[in-house]
Amino acid sequence: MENIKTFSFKRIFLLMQKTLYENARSVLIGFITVFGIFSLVLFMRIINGDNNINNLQTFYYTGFFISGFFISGMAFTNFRKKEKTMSYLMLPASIIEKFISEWLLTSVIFIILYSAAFYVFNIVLYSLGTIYKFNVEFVNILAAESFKMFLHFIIIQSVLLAGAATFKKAPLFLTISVVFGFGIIFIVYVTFLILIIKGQLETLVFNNSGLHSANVNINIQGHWLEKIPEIMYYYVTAPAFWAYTYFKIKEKEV
Amino acid sequence: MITINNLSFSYQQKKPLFSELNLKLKKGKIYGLLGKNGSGKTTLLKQIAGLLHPKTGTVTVNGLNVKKRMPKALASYYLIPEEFETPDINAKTFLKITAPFYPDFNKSNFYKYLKEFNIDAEQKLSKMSYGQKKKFLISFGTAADTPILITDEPTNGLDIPSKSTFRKLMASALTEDKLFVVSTHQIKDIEGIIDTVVVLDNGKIIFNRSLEEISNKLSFKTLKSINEENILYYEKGITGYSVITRNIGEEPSHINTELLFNSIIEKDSKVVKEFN
Repeated sequence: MENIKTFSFKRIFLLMQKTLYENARSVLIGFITVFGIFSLVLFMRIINGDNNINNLQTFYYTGFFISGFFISGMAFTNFRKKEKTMSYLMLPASIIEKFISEWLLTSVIFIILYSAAFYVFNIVLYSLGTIYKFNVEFVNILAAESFKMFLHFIIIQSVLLAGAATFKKAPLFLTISVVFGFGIIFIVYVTFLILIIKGQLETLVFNNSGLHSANVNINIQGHWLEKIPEIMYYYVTAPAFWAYTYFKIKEKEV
Repeated sequence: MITINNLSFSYQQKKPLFSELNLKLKKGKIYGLLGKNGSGKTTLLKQIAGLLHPKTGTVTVNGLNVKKRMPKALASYYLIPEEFETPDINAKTFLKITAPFYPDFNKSNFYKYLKEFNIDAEQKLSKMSYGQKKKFLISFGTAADTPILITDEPTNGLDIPSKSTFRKLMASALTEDKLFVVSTHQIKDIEGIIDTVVVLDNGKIIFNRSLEEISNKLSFKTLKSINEENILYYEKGITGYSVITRNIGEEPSHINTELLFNSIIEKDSKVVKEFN
């Protein structure tokens, strides 16, 4: 008993193992659904005479984000019910271990499992292509573009993870609603800001670098301020939401 | 082993449940935490288990503040709650994925307890009845071999033979370095296994005495009439009066826990005053 440490990789592994065993069916159903839809769409294309399946990369990315968001919404599944929350909070593991295990499962482990499943799907499709005479492209899962996508996923996923630790019911839906809610508030705020500055409402335009008013011309090109959104997105968003999630678990009462 | 210092807690701002509550529970004993419905028993157990945070004060288990939920503190107790959810797996799988968190878990005892309760280790937990699930959890919690075992209404949902098995199991599992807390309002079910009675009423510990102290001070009798002196409490029954009197040099009598409890929770209890 004296040797129990605050942090142990073994306990993180045990937590992940427990979560996987208890949720194996839901995860399996999720994967079967995603790949079932892929198969159905591709089958419809083939029977409609499309013999070139050359945009599998799009399938890979779309399926990755959709299933990834669903999996993230399923994080902290024990928090959905009071009785399960009790057992989970009393399980002898530290808060940081509980957080890391959920994060690993819904990000790193998910990325590996989904990519492996897609790779197998790709091989099966390729083999079928050689038998039934249709062309199938091979998706390079380890391409630089994929890693960029993983990074974006991990950043966005941190928000969903925070939502899963916060909302008792329908966390995915509620998190997305809250994000949209804040987005709308932000747009309204910017609109009023422009109204105050210009004295009249201008047409708001979205482009790659954010929200702009057609007639308001604030030139920040080359200025350090230009880097703020990027810094916020890449370096602040995920750590901030991870910290929020950690404290949410820490303060959880039931 | 369990120390509660100046605990204050409330669910609603203006309605405090516990105010400056103090309690010390020592190892080597089975405490019976008794109280009426809504007296705060479950809330107190949740405080001990770190599931609720005190507004002020501290709850420590073996010197560790349970609020911090450190693995060492969490591994030193097991709480069997009244309401629980079991995953869609069988007992063997549950054992495989949960037992490693408890360093002293005793697998052979776990299977022994399951056998005593007639629980099939291959059956899915989600398919079990409430009583079967409870028996499974009692077996798991006891086999976890944690220094502290806390049970909330453990006999709810158990059939008569299982209640007896539960009592035997508790009695056999207790060692000098362990502490069991059995919270219930079904006092008769735990009669014979507890050695200290703790009564919680309206968020206050109004009584905390060992059975030895109780039997030294009180005598439990059944009388035809109640003209005897020293009567502290009585209840009229079919065959006569069940009474509690001062024990003045008498042989220790069998403690009627239900009668004792009723005597404690009555307003201006003479029994409680007898111990002060």
